[in-house]
Amino acid sequence: MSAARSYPGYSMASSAAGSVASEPSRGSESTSVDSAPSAAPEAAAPTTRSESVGGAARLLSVAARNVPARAAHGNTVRTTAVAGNTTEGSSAAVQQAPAQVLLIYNAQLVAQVDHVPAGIDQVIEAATTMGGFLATRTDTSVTVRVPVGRFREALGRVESFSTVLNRNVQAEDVTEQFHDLEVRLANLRSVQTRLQQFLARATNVTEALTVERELERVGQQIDEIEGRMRFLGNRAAFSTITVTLMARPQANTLVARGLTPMHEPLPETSLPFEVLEQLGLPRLLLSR
Amino acid sequence: MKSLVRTTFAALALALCAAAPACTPFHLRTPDGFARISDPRPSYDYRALSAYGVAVGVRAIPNRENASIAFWSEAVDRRLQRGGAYRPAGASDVRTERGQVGKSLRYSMGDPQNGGTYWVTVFVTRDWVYLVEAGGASASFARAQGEVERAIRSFEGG
Repeated sequence: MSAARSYPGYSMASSAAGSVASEPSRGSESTSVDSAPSAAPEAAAPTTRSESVGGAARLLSVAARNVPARAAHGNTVRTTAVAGNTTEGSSAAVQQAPAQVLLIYNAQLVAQVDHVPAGIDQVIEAATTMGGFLATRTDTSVTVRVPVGRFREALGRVESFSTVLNRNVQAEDVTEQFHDLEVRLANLRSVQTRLQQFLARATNVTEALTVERELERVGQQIDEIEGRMRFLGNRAAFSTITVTLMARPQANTLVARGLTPMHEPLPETSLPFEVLEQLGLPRLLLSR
Repeated sequence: MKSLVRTTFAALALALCAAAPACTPFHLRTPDGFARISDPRPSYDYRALSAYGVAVGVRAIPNRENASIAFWSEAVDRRLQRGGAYRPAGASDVRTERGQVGKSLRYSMGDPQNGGTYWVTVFVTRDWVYLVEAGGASASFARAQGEVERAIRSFEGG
């Protein structure tokens, strides 16, 4: 198996993954903030990510784990194919270990803005200008997908026009899952090739039909794995940001309640013209 | 008595017309290659689209505060630059075919290849503020720019 891999539907993430390896640390992270810290802690990435031999060993162990899984099906053809693959892969993988890490980023923000609909528009604007897109939207929340390489920038953009009250950033490492799928896919393709050879050599109809059925089953498994790999690749290529917005309490409300803090920075003047909040290219292009 | 009823009715009709967005007194020649949207409300008083995704829209707002064009162009510019998504790409005075003076504010968004272009031209009369918006994907907008500029020069606000 070659270490130089290309992930289907993952062209953006494969280049960006390196750049975000120092983003939120592996696993899950949950942060609640009162004062807004940086979007994601610069915690050191797990060292295994940069250790090429460690990566190769992991890859090989993944391949090795797949052998009994296939043997359990009792198909000698597949077992042979896996064994061949593992042997081929061992030298190549050690020499060219995979450096790519597949991380799926999810962020949930709760923020205050002066005007919630305008804030939602601004989140969408920020995402679309970064090459992302709108996923879902309600009256008070919006979910956007942004290219993984611009995840931090997108969080920073949201913070620039809102007051973030709560932030929850999660990074799910699906590298191993993806490699598992990749190894299984390679094995199934080998099996498919062998079955096609058997089919070409079939001497009677019964034999041909049996092989044909097996080919169909293998083909379905290949489709399922490819679909799953595309899904993971897409999830990793575009990070998900969900922003729930609340209206910022107005200054006069605070004064009326006697709650104005002594050292509160001066609020930015908000002009009382709703039309200003309705400006923007997305609204012009999408207005209904 | 009859004339009083007639006068009252006419005044009421005028007041209703002035209040209704469809009656806002302005004219903009629809750019060539654009289709005017028949019911652009609630967001716009006029809206036209090209087949390749460029839009032109006009909003008319009663100028109850008697604010000047300087106020409105500053307010629009401040709002658009607040979130950081719009990069200023120029501001200039425009003069329409009828001699009306406006302020053109131009912005770009995103990267030059895949980003967008967004213009807001502000016209202010004694009674109305008009915001003429135009925009789309930069590549598409470049094709329509000449037509959009001609349409803006054709603007006439009462």
